[in-house]
Amino acid sequence: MPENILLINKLKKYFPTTERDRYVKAVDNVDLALKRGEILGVVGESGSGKSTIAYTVMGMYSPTSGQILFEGQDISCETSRRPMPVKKDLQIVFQDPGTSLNPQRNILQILELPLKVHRLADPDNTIRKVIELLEMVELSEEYLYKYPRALGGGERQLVAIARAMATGPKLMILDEPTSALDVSVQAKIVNTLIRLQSELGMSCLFITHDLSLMRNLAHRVAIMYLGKIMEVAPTQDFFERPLHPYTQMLLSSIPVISKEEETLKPDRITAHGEIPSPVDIPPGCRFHTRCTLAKDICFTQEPDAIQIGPNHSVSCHLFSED
Amino acid sequence: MEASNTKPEKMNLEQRHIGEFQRIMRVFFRRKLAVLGLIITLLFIITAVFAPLIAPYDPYAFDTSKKLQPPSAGHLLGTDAMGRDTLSRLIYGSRISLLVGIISVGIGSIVGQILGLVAAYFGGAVNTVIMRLMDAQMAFPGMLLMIVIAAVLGGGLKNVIIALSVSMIPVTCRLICGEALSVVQNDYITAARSMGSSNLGIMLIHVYPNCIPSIIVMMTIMMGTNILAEAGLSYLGLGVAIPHAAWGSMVNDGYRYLLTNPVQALAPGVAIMLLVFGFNLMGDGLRDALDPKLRSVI
Repeated sequence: MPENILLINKLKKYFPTTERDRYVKAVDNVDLALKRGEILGVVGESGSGKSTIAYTVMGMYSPTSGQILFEGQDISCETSRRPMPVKKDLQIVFQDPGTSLNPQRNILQILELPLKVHRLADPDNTIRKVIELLEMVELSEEYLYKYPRALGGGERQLVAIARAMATGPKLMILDEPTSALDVSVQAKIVNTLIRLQSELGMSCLFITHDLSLMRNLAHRVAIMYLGKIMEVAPTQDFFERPLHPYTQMLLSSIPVISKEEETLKPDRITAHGEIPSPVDIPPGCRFHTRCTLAKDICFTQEPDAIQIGPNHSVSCHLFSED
Repeated sequence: MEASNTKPEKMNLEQRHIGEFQRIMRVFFRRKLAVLGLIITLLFIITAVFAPLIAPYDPYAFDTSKKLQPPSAGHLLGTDAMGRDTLSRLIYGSRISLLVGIISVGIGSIVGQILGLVAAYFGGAVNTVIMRLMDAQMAFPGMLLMIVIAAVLGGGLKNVIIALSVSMIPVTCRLICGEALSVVQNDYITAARSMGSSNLGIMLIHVYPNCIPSIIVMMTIMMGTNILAEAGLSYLGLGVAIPHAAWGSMVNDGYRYLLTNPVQALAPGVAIMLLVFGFNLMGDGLRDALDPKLRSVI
């Protein structure tokens, strides 16, 4: 068995624009590896292409070029061409629980469908399986015959998680599962996810723009900017020793309340500028338009990923002297 | 645990469904005009079903000695040019109207729904081909198309139904396609796809049930439209063949005597109007009752 459950190799996903030969480069040469039983957080601003990675891995789009290996198996194609076991082992939880559950079906019907599709339960056993799934996400069996509209946002998201769990996936993709929810509910969702992940040992690709969430949740964090990974680091390293100027900028923009927290933050680099359009990606390092430390080389040459420590790599010319 | 639990859960399920059903009923029955439409439609349906029991005379038995009589105690609506009892013919005519309406709406909307669902779900080239075909058909005026079909195939009940069904397909197809396109956008469709559900399964379980409210409303209103169109075709002599009592052909027979014996033309005319009116009122009421946006208003 390969060590990495998911290996993304030079993945590119371009979307055509109305003009010829101009593309929205949503994902541009991304290399990413997800280890077995690991939670990898992918963080980035809106429009950085993090959701596109998730959707391409899920097979909603086929990649423009590059390779996606799931357990060593090439799945760089759309869902319809993938074998059933892959569909069983790969599940997704969406951002908005309002549209991810069919309003015409009750919770039992929603949760038994994946079991039926993959023949995971006998007809007599289905209801017990569904109750087990509900218990997994700490919902009581009273919910069985409720309809999604009778549920709150948090409860719906728990149902969506239970549905993704139904097939016993090896890899779960979470596309901003908490950003449509109240803060009070977010904590419950995150705790449930952490518990399920450690109990079942599945791997998670957690897409979010909430950096502070990553501190408690992820084993490793990857920062994306304009379709490229800028820095990948183990969570502790990431928060204590951020290297890339972009990472530092993001970390210093987390709002804090106490002095104590302020000292934990890197030297303040004020965020300035907007993320450029992914159609016209700046030449050289794509971050140079907003970087305060940009050198001459940054304007012309694109930096490669440089290994700094174990599991810690960064794409920046500042670290390429030696 | 599981044995003792199944029963109350089943009841719960029924209660939930009844709750939703009751809500729809409540909205519907609060609208007086909708209820009026329902009563009119039901009266016509009862009349059609029990026509042989209700009709005072045989609608086909003519008696030339009694032709064109004004309304009297013996013949409540008088008799027509061949001495047949108008009321009896009117009662039997409701059978033709409702039969044509129900069957043509049934066939037309089933074909239209399948095409619309397929077009919306698969999108791309499939969508373009189906929708352009529908556009092409819609470019012909509906009545003209029906006249052409009826003229080519000849008159008669079966051919009228075919003509009406065909003319209904593009309307249904467009409606369902639009409805289904907005349903397909939802994340639960993507989730079902990535979970491994089959295309047919997704269409039947996820897409179609979310289109049903608008289908019901459309079918009700189309009933009225098709009954009117059938009357039009029968009036033009392209519809139901002569011995049958169809309202349209009765108007055609009667309008010659409009000045001397107006009841002969007016009675079937009023019947057509009432039935179409009934279906339209009912359709409006159903639209309000089934509209999810009005759910909180009640």
